[in-house]
Amino acid sequence: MTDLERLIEYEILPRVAKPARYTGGEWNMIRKDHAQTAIKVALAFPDVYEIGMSHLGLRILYDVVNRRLDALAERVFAPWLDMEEALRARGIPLFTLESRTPVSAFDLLGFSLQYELSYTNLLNMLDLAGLPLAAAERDARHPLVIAGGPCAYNPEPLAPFLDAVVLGEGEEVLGEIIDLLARHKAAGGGMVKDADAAAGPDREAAIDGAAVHRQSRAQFLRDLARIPGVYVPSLYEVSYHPNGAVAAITPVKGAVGDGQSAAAQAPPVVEKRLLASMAGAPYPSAPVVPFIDIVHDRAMVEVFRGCTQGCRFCHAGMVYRPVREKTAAEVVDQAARQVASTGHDELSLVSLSSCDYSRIGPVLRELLDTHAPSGVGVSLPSLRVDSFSVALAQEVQRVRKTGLTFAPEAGTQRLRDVINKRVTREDILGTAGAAFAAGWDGLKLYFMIGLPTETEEDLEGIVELARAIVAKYEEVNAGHKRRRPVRVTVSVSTFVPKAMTPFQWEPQDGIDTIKAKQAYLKRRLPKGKIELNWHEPEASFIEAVMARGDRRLARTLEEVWRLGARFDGWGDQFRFDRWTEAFAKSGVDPTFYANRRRAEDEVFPWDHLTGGVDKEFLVDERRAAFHGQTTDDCRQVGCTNCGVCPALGVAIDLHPEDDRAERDGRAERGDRATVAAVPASPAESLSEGGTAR
Amino acid sequence: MRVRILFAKDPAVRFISHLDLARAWERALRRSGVPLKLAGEFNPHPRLVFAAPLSVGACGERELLDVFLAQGMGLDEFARAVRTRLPAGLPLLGVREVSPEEPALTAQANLADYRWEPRGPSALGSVRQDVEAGAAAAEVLHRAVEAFWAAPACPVERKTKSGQLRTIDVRPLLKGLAVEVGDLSSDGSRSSDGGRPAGAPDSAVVFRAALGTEDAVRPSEVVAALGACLKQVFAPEAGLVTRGWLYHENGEGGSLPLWPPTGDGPAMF
Repeated sequence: MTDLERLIEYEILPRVAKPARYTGGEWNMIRKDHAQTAIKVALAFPDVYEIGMSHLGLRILYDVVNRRLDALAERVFAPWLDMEEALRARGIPLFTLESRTPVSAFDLLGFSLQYELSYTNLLNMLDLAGLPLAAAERDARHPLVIAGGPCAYNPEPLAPFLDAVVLGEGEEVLGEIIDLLARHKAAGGGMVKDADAAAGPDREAAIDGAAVHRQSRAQFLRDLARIPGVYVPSLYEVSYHPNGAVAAITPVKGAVGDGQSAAAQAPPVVEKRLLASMAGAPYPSAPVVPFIDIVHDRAMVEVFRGCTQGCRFCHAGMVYRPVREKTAAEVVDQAARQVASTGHDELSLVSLSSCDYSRIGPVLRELLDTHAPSGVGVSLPSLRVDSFSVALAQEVQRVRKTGLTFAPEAGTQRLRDVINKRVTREDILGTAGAAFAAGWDGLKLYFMIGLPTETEEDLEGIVELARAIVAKYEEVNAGHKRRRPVRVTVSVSTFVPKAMTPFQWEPQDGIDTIKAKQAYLKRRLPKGKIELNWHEPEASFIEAVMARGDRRLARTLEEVWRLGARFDGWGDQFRFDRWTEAFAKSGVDPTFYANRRRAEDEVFPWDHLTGGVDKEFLVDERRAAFHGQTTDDCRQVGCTNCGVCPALGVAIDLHPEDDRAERDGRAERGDRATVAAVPASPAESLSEGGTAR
Repeated sequence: MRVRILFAKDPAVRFISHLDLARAWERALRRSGVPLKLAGEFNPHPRLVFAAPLSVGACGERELLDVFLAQGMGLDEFARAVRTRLPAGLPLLGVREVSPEEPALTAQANLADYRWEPRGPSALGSVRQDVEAGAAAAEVLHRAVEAFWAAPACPVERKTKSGQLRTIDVRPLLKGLAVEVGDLSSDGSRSSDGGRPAGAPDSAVVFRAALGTEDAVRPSEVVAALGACLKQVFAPEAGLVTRGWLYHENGEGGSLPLWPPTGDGPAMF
C-alpha cells in the first residue's frame, strides 16, 4: 500500500459519508490488468454512486466494453461534497472504483448526460481529474472526453468542454470509437503519454512535443468525426444574428480527411445511432451488484426501446424512435440470467412504457411463475392509465406490494389533447376505481404545469380530478366499515420545453407564473387526503435554459461552477443566486433561452444534429396541438410520417407472436415479424417518469 | 435446517454497513441456489441472524451468521455452493449445523475480542505513524495502556440515541486490554494485507468487551479513552478495528467461543 493509498484508506474514507460509494469491489465488478489491456475507458456518471449505478445505460456500456479483450471499462461517479473537499485538500486526483486509477490515465473518459442539472458536476469531475476544462487546451496526452445520453441531442452548452458527443444508442458506436483509438495508439499517434520524456529536456523540443500532441489530437478528432453518430463540436462554427438567435452552424472547411477537397469536412448534419433490432442486442447477464442501497436496487431487463405514444412534451418519445422490441424468449432468458447472477430479489421490466410491450401479459406471468417461489418479485416501472395495467399490477402483487403511479399529465381533456396524452377522464377514474377495488388505498399522480395553452381552468382540472379520485375511493369502499383513509399524491412538475420535440418553439412560463400556479394548487387541493409535491421553479428554469441553450452558455457553466455550483439536481444543493451571478458575469440573458417563443423558421443550436424525426413533423404536431387535434400511435394506425424510419433505414420491430417455438430452436429467427400495426391494445400509456427524486 | 456460518469481513469491504453486509449475504445465498426458507406473506424474505452488527469501517475475523433452510442438505454441499458466490472480502470460513432449539445467535453472543491498529498519520494524535515511527507507535500504545490501568477512571463521552452526551467510564467495561506487537493476525491471512507502512511492525491494542448490552463499549470509545490517558487526541477512525472471536459468557465468569475451536463441529476451510 502506497502512502497515497494509506491516506485514502485511513484518513479520507473513514471521514466521509457513505465511504462505500468510492470503494468498488462489488460482486460482478470487472477488474482487468491495465498493463495487458490496450484501451482503457473510464465511464463517468456526473452524479453520486447511488444514482449512477441505477442507470441502465451504464450497466450496458460497462458490459459492452469489458467484453472486448483489448479494452477495459471502469466506473467513476461524482464525489459528494465532503469527498471532493478531502480530495482537493490532499491533492488527490479523481480515481476510478475498480482500480483506483486516476481518471487522467485513461484513454477515453465517457460521460453520461441524463439531465441538464448535472452539467456542473461534469465540469467538476474534469477539474478533479486534473484535466483542462476546455477541449482546446487538451491534447493527445489527455483522455478523449466524450459524452452521450439524452442531453447529447443538444450538447451545445457543453460544446467547448467535450471532444466529441455521441448521438443515440452507444452499443455499436462506442466500439467503433475504441477501434479508432486502438488504431491511433498502435500507429503511435494516439495517447502517447510518455512523449514528453521523448522530447527531452530541451525546452524547444518540449514545445515541439506539445505541438505534436496537439496535432495528434486534432487529427484524431477529424478521423473521429467520420464515424456516423459522432459529433465533434470543435469542427463546427456557429454564427449569430444581431438579435441573438443562431444564424448558422456549419462545418469548418477542410476539417475532415486530407484537407484537399472541399467535401472533406465534418457532416453538415450528424444523425443518431441506433440498433436496428433489439433482438440479439448485447445485454449484460451479470451486472455489478452494489453493496450500498442504490435508487433502483434491482435486476433490470429492458423489454423494448423507443415509444410512439407521441406525447408532445416528451423528449424521450421523440428521440428514441422507433419502437423495437425484444422477443419474449429473450426477455425471459435475460431475466433468468440476471436473477441467477445477481441474487436480486426484484426484477424490473424497463422501457419507456412497459405495459405497451406486445407480450407483457404472458411474459409477466411466466416470470412470476418461475421466480415468485424463490421470493423474487417482478415490477413495472411505468403503468398506463387503463384497467389492463391495474390487472398487471395485481399480478405483480403476488410477491411484493407496490405503490401505483399514473401520469395523466394534464387536468383537462382539452389540455391532454394539446399534449397528445390520449387518455380520458373516464379512463383515469375507471383505472383508479379498478385499483381501489383491487385493494390499493392510494395512488400517485403525475401532472405538469406550465404546458402550452394552459389556463386556470386546467389547474382547476387537476384539483377536480384529484378530488374525483378521492370520491371514487369513498364510492368503491362504501360498504367497508374499517377501510383505511385514502392517500392520493399529486406530483406536479414544471414543463421544460426540450429540443427536438413539437414544443421546442414554446416558452417556459416565467418563475413568478409557475410560483403562482403552484400556490393556486396548494390553496385549492384539500389537505389531508391529498398530498402535493412540486419542483423548485428556479431549478426547472435552469433546466429550460440549458435544454435549448447554445455555446454561449458554456461561459455561464464555467462561471457557476467556479462559484461553487455542484449537484444542482439536488434540491438541498441548488442555489439560484449563484446562477444569477454567473449569468450576469457571462453576459447571458437566461430568459432569452427559457421564456422566449421562437419563430417557426428559427435556426436552433441543435439543427445540425438529428434523432431522425423530421422538423416538419414537429411543426405539424405543434400546429395540431394548438388545434386540439391528437395524433395516434403509429403502432396502431400505421405510419404518422414522423420520418424516423426512412431517415435511419429502420422499422418498427414488434414481436407479438408466441415465440416459444423459436426459443426451443425449432424455428429460424426469420419468423420474427416486422409489423406496422398490431391488434389494438389499450391506447394510452403513462410513464412514471424518471425525474422524481 | 439451521446452518451456522463462520465468515470474515475483510479490510476490502470494511466500509459497508451492517445492512449492506446483510444484503450482500442474502444475495450471495440466493445466487448459490441453496433452499432458503422464506418467511412473510407479503414480501417473503429469508431469515438471516447475525451474532452482532459491525460498524462501518470495522473488520471481523470470526463473524457468525445463522441461516435457515427449507430442506436439509449436506454441509459440504452447502459450503461449496455458497463460497464461490461471495464477493471478495467476505470469505466463508466454516459451516456447521445448529439445533433449532439453541437460543438465537444474538442472545448467545455477549462478549467479543477487538483489535485496533493505528494506520493513518493522525491515528495517534501528534505521534506520527510512519516508517520511522513504527516502533514509536508501539511505545505510545504501551504507555497509553499503562496509564489506562493506572488511572482511577477512564471517562469518555457517549452520544445517546436521543442525542444527549453522557459520560461513561470505559475501565470497568473492559475484560482485558493489552498491546500486541508483531504479526497480529491469528491465522496469518492478513499478513500480506496492505495498510501497514513498509518495514514498520504491527502494533495494536487488543481488548475484550461486552456486546449488545448496556455494558457494551465501542472500540472508538476505548481508543479515545487511551488517547485521553496520554492527554492526546487519538483518531479511532484512522486506525483499523478488527473484531476477533465472539464469546458467550455464562454470567459466572466463564466464557466460551461461539465457534468451537476444536472438536468435530466446525468444517474449516
